[in-house]
Amino acid sequence: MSDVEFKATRKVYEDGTVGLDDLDLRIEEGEFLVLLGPSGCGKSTALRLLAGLEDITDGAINIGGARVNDLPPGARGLGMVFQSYALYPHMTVRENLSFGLRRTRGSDKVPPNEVVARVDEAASMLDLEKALDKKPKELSGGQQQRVAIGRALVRRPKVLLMDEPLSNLDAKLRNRMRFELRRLHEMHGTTTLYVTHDQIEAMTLADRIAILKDGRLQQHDKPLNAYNQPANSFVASFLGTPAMNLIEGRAAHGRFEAGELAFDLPPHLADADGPGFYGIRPENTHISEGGVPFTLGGVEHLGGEAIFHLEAGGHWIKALWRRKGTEAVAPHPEPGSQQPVILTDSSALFFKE
Amino acid sequence: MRVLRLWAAVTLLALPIMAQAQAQPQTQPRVSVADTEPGYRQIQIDVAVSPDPRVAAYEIWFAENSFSSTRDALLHSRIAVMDVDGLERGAPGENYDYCQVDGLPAYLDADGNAVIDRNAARWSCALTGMVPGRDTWIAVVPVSADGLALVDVDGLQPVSGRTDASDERTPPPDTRPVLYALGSIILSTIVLLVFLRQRDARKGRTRSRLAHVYVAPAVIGLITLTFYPILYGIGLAFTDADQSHLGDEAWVGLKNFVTVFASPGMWRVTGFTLVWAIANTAAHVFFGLLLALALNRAGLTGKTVYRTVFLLPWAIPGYISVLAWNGMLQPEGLVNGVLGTSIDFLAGADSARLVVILVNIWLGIPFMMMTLSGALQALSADMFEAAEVDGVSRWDQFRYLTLPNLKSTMVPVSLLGFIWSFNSFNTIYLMTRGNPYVGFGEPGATDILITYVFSVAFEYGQYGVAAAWSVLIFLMLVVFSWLYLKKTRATEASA
Amino acid sequence: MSRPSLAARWYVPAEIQALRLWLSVAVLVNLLIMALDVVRDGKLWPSLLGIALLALGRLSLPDGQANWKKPVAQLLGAGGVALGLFALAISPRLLYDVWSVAWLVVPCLLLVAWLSRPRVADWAGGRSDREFAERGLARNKESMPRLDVVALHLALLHGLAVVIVPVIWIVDVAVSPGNVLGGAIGDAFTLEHFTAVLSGDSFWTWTRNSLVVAAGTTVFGLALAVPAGYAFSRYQFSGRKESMFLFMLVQMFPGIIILVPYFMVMKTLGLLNTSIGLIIVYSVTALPLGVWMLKGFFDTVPRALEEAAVLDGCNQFEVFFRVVLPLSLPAVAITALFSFLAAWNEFLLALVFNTSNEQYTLPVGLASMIPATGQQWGDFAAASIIVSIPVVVLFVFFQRALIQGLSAGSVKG
Repeated sequence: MSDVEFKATRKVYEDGTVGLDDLDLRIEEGEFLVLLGPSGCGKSTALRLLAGLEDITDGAINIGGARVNDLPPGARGLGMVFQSYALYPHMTVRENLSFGLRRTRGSDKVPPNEVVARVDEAASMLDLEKALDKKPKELSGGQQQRVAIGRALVRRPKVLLMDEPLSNLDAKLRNRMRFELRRLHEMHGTTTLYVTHDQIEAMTLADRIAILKDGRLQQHDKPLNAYNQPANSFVASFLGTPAMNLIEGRAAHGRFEAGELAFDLPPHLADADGPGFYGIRPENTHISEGGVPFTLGGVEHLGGEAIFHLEAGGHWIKALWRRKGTEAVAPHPEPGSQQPVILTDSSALFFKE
Repeated sequence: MRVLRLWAAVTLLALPIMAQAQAQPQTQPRVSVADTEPGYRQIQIDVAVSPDPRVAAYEIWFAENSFSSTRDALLHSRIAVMDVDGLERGAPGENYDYCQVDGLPAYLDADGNAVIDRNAARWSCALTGMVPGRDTWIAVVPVSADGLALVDVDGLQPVSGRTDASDERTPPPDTRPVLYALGSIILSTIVLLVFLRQRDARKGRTRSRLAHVYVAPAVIGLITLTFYPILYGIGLAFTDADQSHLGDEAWVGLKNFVTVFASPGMWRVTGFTLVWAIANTAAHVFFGLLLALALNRAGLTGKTVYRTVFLLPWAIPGYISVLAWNGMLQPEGLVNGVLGTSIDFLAGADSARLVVILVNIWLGIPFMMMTLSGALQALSADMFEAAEVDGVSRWDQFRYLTLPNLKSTMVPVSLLGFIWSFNSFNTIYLMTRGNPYVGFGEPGATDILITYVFSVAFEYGQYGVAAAWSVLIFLMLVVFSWLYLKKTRATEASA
Repeated sequence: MSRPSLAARWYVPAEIQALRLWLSVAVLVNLLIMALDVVRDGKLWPSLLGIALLALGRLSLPDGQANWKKPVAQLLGAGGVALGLFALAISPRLLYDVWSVAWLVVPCLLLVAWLSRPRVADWAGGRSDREFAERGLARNKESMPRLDVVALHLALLHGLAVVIVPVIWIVDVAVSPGNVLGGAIGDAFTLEHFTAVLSGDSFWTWTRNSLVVAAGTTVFGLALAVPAGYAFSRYQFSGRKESMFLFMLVQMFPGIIILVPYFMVMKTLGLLNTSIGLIIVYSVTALPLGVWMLKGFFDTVPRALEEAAVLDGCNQFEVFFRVVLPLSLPAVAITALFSFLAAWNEFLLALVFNTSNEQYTLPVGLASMIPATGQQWGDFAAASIIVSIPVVVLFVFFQRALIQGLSAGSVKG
């Protein structure tokens, strides 16, 4: 297992679009890094550049300290799990797992008994023992995915690459597999680069996350840090459900003004100055005495939670109510009524961009 | 003195005659074609000759176009000229090439062939084997005992004859049985459809009220004009149907099949057909795959141009391509021009076979190329990327990923290709007609089963035997297809 | 460094990779050339020697370890070049000779030249330091695609030649005077054959017959196939499965079985030597395929459209004619085109059924220009071109649709 370094990595396509713009990123040995971002942000590009499936325009990529820019994919010692699993449809699970190992040659050749040992090891680790002689089309989605993971792991790769592996599964299975993936990582401990657009996966799986937008790195940090201290409004709105309330306005002299809406900034933001976004998460926004007056637009009752949609001065925000203890029922204020909203506490943030 | 004058006169008279007889070659026999048509596929010629002791035989040459040299014509027969002492005349209509000499049936030699008296001035023969409905040019060439022509072989002036006599030694075939059969089939099909329609109405399926009406014309057409002929054909195999007595064929059981198996050259023609079909199919798949792979490369400049050109052998009407290749393989054709030789590729048995296979390969590659190209595009690219990350070489990717996944397309397509090649008539017929000639009634060196059956049916006119051959061909194909599919299913299961 | 770096282990110069493939291919091609040489003049030795040199050269390609391979390979290559040039000098120097020698000389030349390149020579001498390997890999990334493309185009051009040269030749024969088959391409020009063909009666008779038969087949065949295809696609009715099986079964019979009975039935009915006889036979032979293609197309028309029409008050008949048929017009057109071309190009049945010049269709008529003796190559070539051009144009224009139509039918079958 090795560390990975992207050094000023740049990818520009033939038609001029910039896939990746000067990425500087380091993945430590054994770390589970999640590349997160919306579609087109460059996360899959970064993965494919690391894999060697596409060529770098500029910069370098190092694996274990060695530059791998020009090495063919097979030489880089990687294992990859594709979004579509890319299993070999005409081979059994056992053959799928062992195919790459059986095709090794020369000084890299893996002896047959070693091949068998590794396949059995992967099968037991991934609970595939009963499926070894079946073909991919006879397997469930979850099993297929495990075969894909197994195929990547039998190579004892230096780095494990995963390209949105859970997006083809239904919601329930996805939840289960998230837990499984975390457990697996604790077992095999390989450096992992995981690409996804789902921030829940990122938050639950990652040791650290790297958020990309339009080919540029926005923030590289532990998940909770990124959640609590987002580097900019994009990160802030990307992490967390429901998304953080962002109000565009102006801060001056300890007060925030956004058109007709105005309120005092919390103490830790007193020095904020100039145009920007005020951000506060819905779970930190409450309907409570002494708050800023908002009009209630509507309520979504989800059972254990309720989301209140509130409006003032043309700005819409959400307040999240969560059941605590034995409180049976959420408050049911009338839509259209005026509600006081507390939206200033120590978690509030101000972003210049 | 009077004797001298007489002698001079005789000499003076005889001289020119003798000079004519000796100094120059004998003048050509005067040939004319009789107006009467002696029979089906027969042309009657009348020949006026000047008796000449040098003539040992008359050769009858013929061709489909006018010719001036024997090089452009075919030899029909040779009639010997000899002394007829001790020979007997034949009876009228007794043998095929019935000949008359000076108005009487010709003498027959020991083998029963007609001969011409040394002193005959006129003889006529009915030439058989003429193709009806077409003009045929005929010339008669006297030859000496050494086989040398006694007239200028490049200055011939053939006459044209034609026979349109229809094959009617018996009254016209009775159309009624066939009409009855067709009529009853059509009626019973209609009854069946009506019955099915009623069944549907009773079951309450009202939405498909018109279905049977829509389907009726096609189904009736199919059953009448495909099933009925197939069954009729199978039935024919058990009769002695022949072109000479159409309409009153008799049941002969398995006699035709016995004839088939006993035919000389039966194994030879079957063997060549198999070799032909297998070689064709293998080459079609191989080159089709090669081209499909080449054209599948992303970003290949000129891909559409290449693809369009490679479609040409399929787009150009097949018979035109084959005839063109025929021309190119002539001694003065393109292939010889390129190689700088003048080999007649279609003359020798082995070279003709090879060349005929190569031409058919040329014809069939585009279809295979297009089919495999579609199958290649259907392969997922992801799978290859996964293999690439796994470090599998390009060749191994092809061998272990591409080929196995193409199998599901290649198996049915190659079977179809095999059957198509097996039954491919145009190429061989238009290149060689099955020649080089091997023997009378035998398949030629390049005959495959289908071209041989064609000649049995339409050149020798033995419909019953031809039908027996057809049934056997069909059975062969069924057995082969079954075995092939079984074998490929088996390997697929273990793959 | 006891173990070479990763880069070095994976680095093989592009030139060596290319030579590995190209020399092997050259051996195969030279085997073919050897066969042709034997046919030509029986001389085996130059080609055999050349093959040996190429094969040995391939086997002694360097493998990255300093050993005897490089100089030997280069020597063999030089030998090959010399042999080829010598063979060319003593040959008649036709185009064929130049081509066949090129297949020996060019690979050998590349062998010698590329092995002399500094980078390749270093590698062959065993150089395997990391920087060298990395730079080599970077250069490979640029060179390999270019070499691949060159090789690909070369191979494709050979295929192109095999396909195009007959076409060029036919055109040449068509515009060369007389019925001469030989002569250089493009040495003379005359339109006499075109005039002869177009002003003769036969050609127009044949064309008229072919047009009548092909058009009749298309119309009659479609009239039968379209309703049937629609019924199979839309309706569930008693006998549906059996009928579909029937259609499929019939496709499997090789034509030869049906030929003799067809002939006899047609003869008995007096339909030999008529256009109607051929139309009937062609329509029915093309029926299964036509029904399959049309059914496949009809299957893609959403039922919702028909249901909407029914709700609007149309009866079943109107639904078919006013809603489904107009939508399927492209598909029907393609099937029509297919039937037309099939009837236009058909040879065997036309040969058997129509035996007099008056009733010949184009295929049989054109074939009659090339009988066993007295072949009229010039006129035939001219007629071929006139007949082929519209067919080829139509085919090329509609190729994608035709192939889709074929596969839609066969996949379902």
